[in-house]
Amino acid sequence: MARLFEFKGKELLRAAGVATPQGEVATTPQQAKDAAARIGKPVAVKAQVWTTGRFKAGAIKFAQTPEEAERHAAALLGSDVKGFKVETLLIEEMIDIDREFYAGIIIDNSHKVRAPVVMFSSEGGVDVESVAEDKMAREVANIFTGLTPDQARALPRKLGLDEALIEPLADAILKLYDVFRSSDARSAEINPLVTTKDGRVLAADCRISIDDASVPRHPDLGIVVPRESNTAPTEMDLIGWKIEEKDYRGSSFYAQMAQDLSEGGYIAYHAIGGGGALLAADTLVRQGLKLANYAETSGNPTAAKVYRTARVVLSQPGLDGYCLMGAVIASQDQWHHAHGLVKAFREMLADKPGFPVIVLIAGNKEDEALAILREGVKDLPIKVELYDRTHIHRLSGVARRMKELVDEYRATRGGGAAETAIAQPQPTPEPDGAVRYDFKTGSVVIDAALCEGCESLACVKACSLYGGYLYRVQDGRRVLGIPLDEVPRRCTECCACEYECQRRGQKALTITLPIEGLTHGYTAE
Amino acid sequence: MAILLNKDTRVIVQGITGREGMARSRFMIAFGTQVVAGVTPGRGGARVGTTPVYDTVQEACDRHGPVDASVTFVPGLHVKNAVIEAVDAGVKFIVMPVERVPLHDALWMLAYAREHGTRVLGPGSFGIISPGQAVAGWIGGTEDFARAMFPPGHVGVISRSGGQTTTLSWSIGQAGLGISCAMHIGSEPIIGSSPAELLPLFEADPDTHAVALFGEIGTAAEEEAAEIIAEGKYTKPLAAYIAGTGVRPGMRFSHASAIVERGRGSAESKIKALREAGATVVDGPEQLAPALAQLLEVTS
Repeated sequence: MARLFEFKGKELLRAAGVATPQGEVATTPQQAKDAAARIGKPVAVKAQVWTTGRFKAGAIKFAQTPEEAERHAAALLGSDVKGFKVETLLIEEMIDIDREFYAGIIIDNSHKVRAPVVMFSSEGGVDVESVAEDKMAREVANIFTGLTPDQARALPRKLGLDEALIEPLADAILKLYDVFRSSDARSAEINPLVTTKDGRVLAADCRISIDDASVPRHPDLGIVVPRESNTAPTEMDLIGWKIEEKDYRGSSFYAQMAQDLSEGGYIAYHAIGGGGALLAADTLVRQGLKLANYAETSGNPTAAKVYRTARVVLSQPGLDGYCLMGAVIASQDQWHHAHGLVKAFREMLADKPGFPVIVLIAGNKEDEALAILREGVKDLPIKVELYDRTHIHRLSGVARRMKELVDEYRATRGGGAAETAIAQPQPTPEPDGAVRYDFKTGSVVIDAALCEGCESLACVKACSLYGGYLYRVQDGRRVLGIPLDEVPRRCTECCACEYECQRRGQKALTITLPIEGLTHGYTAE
Repeated sequence: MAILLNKDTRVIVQGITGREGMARSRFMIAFGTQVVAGVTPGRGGARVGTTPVYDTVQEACDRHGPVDASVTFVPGLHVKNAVIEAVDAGVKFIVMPVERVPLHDALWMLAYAREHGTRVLGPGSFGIISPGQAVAGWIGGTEDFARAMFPPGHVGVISRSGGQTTTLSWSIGQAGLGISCAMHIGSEPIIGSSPAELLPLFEADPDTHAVALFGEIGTAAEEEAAEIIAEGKYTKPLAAYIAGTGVRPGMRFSHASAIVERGRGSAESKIKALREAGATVVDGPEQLAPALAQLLEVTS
């Protein structure tokens, strides 16, 4: 779920007509001071972090004067609250609270319901799960007609609240439902929803999570990585997300688990298939291995997408190994994974003698995939072990082997942090007479001079077997069999032409697959 | 027999001219599925292999009806309209392999389908396969592979994990048993067919003698399946495994539904509910097939 910060959620609530305390966002102590001065009253300085219990954690401070607000801001900014770094503050008028309520909407996925459920409690301000049943009222909303005004009024009424409170509370609940629907929220909560001594109904805090799949419909929300995570995305997370963002074919997931690998013993983790992926990760950790990341390529991704994911994963500086756990008999054609992996291994691991690589792959075209992998890496100096489906239910043996290889590698390379080269894949030079085809996410360059006298026609055969039938043979030579402008639509980015040309052809064909953002720091010396 | 899908089920493929629609309809036909037509708006009159393509579901139904089921290979952002079209044309079973369906669209179309008596498998379902008869969706991959992974037999398979549907079916075959019908219910936050709704169908199927359930932490799906057993709506043997016992509460990866929240949905709660209802719950996925073999031996 893409969580919104309190200040962003309150913007949505205000736009829908729910009142909130007067407030401003600040990212420097000076801004905090100026905001407090403009508000002209005592203020609360609230750290914007995705966690509950902020007050107890010291992430909310009260200030009588702008100077005091400035001091609190200076202390909070850059500090760590429950693992979150504070980068933004909300400076808000202090309110004189009379009563605290809770209003929230979640989706009940029970087969008996399958609808939004609106919850209201007279016990706001605390953990909603610990509220007694008789203090929590519920109404199921009809997705077609929405929450009705009668339902909204019934919620506070069921709890026996004062008649004078019913209308203003029902009004806030209805507006919260509007926000929930219009922002494609997975959940939307106001906690507490307060009445003040001067008679106002205000959303004092809020937590709104947007459904990941709906994020493209809401560019205004500024959500960068629409995926559930407990922390703000790291630089590597953003690079990983870019692989997925514009390419809907199959899915690629990447999450950094450790940023500093200098103590050694970390492996890159890459899995296929969600369920088995978690099991396999558990198994590796139980063997004493440390995961630098969690990555997954599933749902029949292109070889290009697999390559990019593997390359990003292998770009983490300081790795002591790479483990692909396809601990599932996948329906997807696994030879695409094999082609993508071989390309990534060849580009990233050619200068890493002894680097441990374990690949467990199973499913459709399993034998073919293993053969491609075996042949594709046989001249690399790395230590590769391949496993098939007979190992899916014997994962601990594979994990134990990974641990042994990592320990061996660390012993030979000496302690300390391992070096890793990381850089953008470089574009292929285009010699005179080269042919270049651009497909959706990259390009292929063929040095036509080298093609002279090629009898293998390996690229044509590869494209016919694995890809989109782009080429045909004319007078014994490869020619494009489709109009040039159809290449982006027809190319399936299977990367098989490069693999086959490099092995059976004249080494004339190279594919470049840029990875957005992968340009920083760690260069090979 | 099998449930929901058999050799006589007349199927259309929505989005048949796309990359997946094309590849999967070819495979489905090779396996024996009666794919009577395809639908892609704007591509009416075309053919995919020998399958005719129409602009609308209604047109496909008019020419080739009755149509029993539709498989939607339509991107998530557009699948809502495809479902409305199929429901309006009277299709009573929809297999929805597409992932990343906007949540409110999913709520809307599942409610719409239910109101009109249409069952939806998914969204995010790898598909359903009745060995020896028919397949709909991604599951199985290619004909030879599907036949090797899903030997015909008498065990029903319900899985919350896509790939584990195949892995589990294969291991059931390795144990000398076979599959009556296997399906992945979908990994999206809200889905149209939960185990509690599928178990009674297996109860009614004389070809199914037992069911294997590959469960997962998060949601109350297994707890509700246990209720169905307790209510006597499913009385055959059930063997279950719950994945994610080692995952810390609140820890979530790309499996959107794998969340532990509000005390419900934990592995402990699921295991307890299922065991109390009389189901067999095993500690590792590799133990499911042997457990089923034992259960079937006892009952036969």
